Amino acid sequence: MSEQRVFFLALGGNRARVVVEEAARLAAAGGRATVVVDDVAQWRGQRFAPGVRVVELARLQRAHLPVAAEQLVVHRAPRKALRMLGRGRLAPWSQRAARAYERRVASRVHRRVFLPVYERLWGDARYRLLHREAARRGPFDLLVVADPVSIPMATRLAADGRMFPNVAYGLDSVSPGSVAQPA
Amino acid sequence: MTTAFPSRVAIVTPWYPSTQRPFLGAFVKAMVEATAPGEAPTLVYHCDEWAGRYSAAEDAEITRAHHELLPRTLSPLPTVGGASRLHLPVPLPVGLSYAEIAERHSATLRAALGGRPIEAPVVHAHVGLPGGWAALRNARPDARVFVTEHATFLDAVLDQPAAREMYAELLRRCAGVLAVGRAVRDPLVAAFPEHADKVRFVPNPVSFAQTRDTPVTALRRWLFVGGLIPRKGVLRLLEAFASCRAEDPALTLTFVGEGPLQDQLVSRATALGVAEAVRFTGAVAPAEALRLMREHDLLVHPSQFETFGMTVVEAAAAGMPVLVTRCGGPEESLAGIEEAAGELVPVADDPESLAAGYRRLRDRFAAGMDLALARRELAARYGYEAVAEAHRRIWFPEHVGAGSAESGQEHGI
Repeated sequence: MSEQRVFFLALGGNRARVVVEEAARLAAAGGRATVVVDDVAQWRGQRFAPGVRVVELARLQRAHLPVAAEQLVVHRAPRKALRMLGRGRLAPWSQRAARAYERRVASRVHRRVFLPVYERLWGDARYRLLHREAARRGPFDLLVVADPVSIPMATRLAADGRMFPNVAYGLDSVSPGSVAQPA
Repeated sequence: MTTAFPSRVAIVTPWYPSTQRPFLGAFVKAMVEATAPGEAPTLVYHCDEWAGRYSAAEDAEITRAHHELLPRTLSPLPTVGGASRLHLPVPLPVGLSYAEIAERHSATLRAALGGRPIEAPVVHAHVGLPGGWAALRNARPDARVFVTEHATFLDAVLDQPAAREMYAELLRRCAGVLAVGRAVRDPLVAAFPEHADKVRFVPNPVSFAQTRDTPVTALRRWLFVGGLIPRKGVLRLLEAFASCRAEDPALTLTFVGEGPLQDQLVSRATALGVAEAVRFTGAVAPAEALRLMREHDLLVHPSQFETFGMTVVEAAAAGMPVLVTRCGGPEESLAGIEEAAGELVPVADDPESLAAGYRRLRDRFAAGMDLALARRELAARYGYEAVAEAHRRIWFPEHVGAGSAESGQEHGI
């Protein structure tokens, strides 16, 4: 029972109660819970038990080189340049220009140019980032699929039977003794 | 991996208590606990709805991936009464019609079974749409399919033409529909008079196994159990409580459950000056709700509509009187023992009629009430043995002696 390692995939974030409770139960029973969420902002108001490791997929993705490069070239560098130009009396103009640039140029380039190219060249980047993260922390005794949005990703991850020998749609769907069960 | 799970009775249900929703389908679990010991092996197919907001393209991808992954996740686990349970999530994008939801349940069950039919001679579903439909579409040709209908939203289902057609087909092909009360049977018979003979009463079972340690001596600790939603009349309850507490500061009120009205109830309790006497437990497991009943003095159930009102019978089983509205199910379940069980008041918006009902009950209680009589009578109607026997007669009439099948019709047993 102790040291059971469970990988909770909770990318949708809309079944928070069951994820928080099951992860807490597992941690209390001596197991190791890794909870993968897409964006931690969706989980505001939820508190994970001590010992539960939370991994944010969006953060992993921001560290992905193409995304980081795009952020630097299209967003951060122009913003910084405008800030430097707009010191003193030019500050109001600079702030307006920065907002206009974000709206009219950066976001359009991101949506219309970067995302289609990124999808084409690194379409499964999220899967590869997640698999690499799982490999770093795994193998796991169980992959728990926590919400509908997580199902396609879970199906791909579960194909790696060495990393995830068992898959379930909740801790209360697996045999007693294999992982922490409801009291 | 195996997707064949032979059983004597298969239960198909969208509702069953779970970690995410510990209250939902407590009556289905009770029905399994009551009936399964005599019908081994019994297998529960829990088609658990997982709603979410996502696009049509994501929906297609989720459905495809789910049907691929589902057979790998199946593991029948022990539940109550010696039965086993299979957990089958049904992903549902928000906004589907009742007919579409029923089709999703059916498709999920089919994917779980690998396209083969449910291996059971009797398939008993809960809720016509979606449970009954999923059972009908996946039962083997010689199986008898029964449905227990308890949906409070039945009128809304029958208002949608596609869902109504599916319900008509369900009634044509199933072996029988069991209504938990008139509030369910009447709209069904009105909509499908040609199938009136297929719709009969069988109530939800209630456990009378446990008794309270000390009897109720004064009606001071009020209890509400249910969703904190408008239909349950919780705002009216809070106002009535404040009115009664002005006369007796020892009164307390516990809300067991959760819902969108909780914040409003908290702020209103503060405004009324009764915040220190009102407690919110949130959602709790059914066993905990029953334990809380044994620790309180009075169940107040001011609902606007109930098909059965299981909580009211559970309260009587816990040895507590009830203050309940005539909202459909409760006046049927308490028929003939209203005075012994508690006090019935009309469904209304004003809190004063509820408060007046409390005062009448309090005065009668002080003069002596026969709660034991109510408990005995309700156990005979809704106890596990009575309801299990009713199901047995319906599921396997060939095993029942002549003359017993129609007994107990007054209360559906």
